[in-house]
Amino acid sequence: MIITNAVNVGGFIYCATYLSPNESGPYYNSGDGHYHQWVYVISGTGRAEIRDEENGLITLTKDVFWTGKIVDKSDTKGKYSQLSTVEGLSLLFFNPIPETTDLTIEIVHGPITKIVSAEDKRITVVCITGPITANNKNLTGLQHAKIFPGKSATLILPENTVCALVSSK
Amino acid sequence: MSKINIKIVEVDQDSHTVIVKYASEKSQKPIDDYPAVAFQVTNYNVATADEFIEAIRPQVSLYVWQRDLQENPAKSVDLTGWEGHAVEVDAYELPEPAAPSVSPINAFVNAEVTL
Repeated sequence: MIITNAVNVGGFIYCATYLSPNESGPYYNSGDGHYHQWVYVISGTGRAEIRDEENGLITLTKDVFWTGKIVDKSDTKGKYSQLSTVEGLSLLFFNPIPETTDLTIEIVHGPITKIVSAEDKRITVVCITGPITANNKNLTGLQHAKIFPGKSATLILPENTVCALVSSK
Repeated sequence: MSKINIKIVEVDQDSHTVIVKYASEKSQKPIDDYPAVAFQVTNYNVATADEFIEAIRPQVSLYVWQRDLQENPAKSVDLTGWEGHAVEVDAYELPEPAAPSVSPINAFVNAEVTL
């Protein structure tokens, strides 16, 4: 696995990674900024085998990694994961800081124009595949913008673009 | 154009593995006397044996060329009379070096856009 980019937004990290074809890597899903609560599959497919103990029996298999899918990994918190690929796999992880923070994520696919209002919690717009605009400002892939409580933003996503709206519960 | 022989000697349906032997007209031994190489068929977008052979042809061509080179090392060359030999020739045209990219990647320079 290659980490191509990682940004600490404050409250969570978004981390872009790439797994090559026929790669298999272990991961202990725990720690502030390291616990993968959510992962978005930018492209490719993968399969994860989950163990409660290192080298223990497989207790869960997740065949839910395919292009365009947002995967809830909260059921693997504190467990050992072995993620394997057949073809290449590009992922964007969302890791809360501290790990006890519970992130909520909405994936928005273009083409769409959407007004997003933050009430009592900040909403962070993470551009996954750009370019998109937020209040007429351009966001390219892996850039983000914060919508603070009481504020709103108009998002314009052209065709084939994707962004994530991230907030904490 | 030189020819190469490719022979599938074993298959394993469970792992989608195909074992292949290869040789050329320069090979020093019969094709069956050489070690085989394994290919994972699922790494290639193929449906038939012929499509598979076509897909691995470039790779096998390189393998056999390298093996032939080892088996048939270049013969010694008589350099008598080369000393002092001088000619003027056209320079080989190299491609112009690409202009350096000066546009930074936004996400790496400034990850946050202030609204």
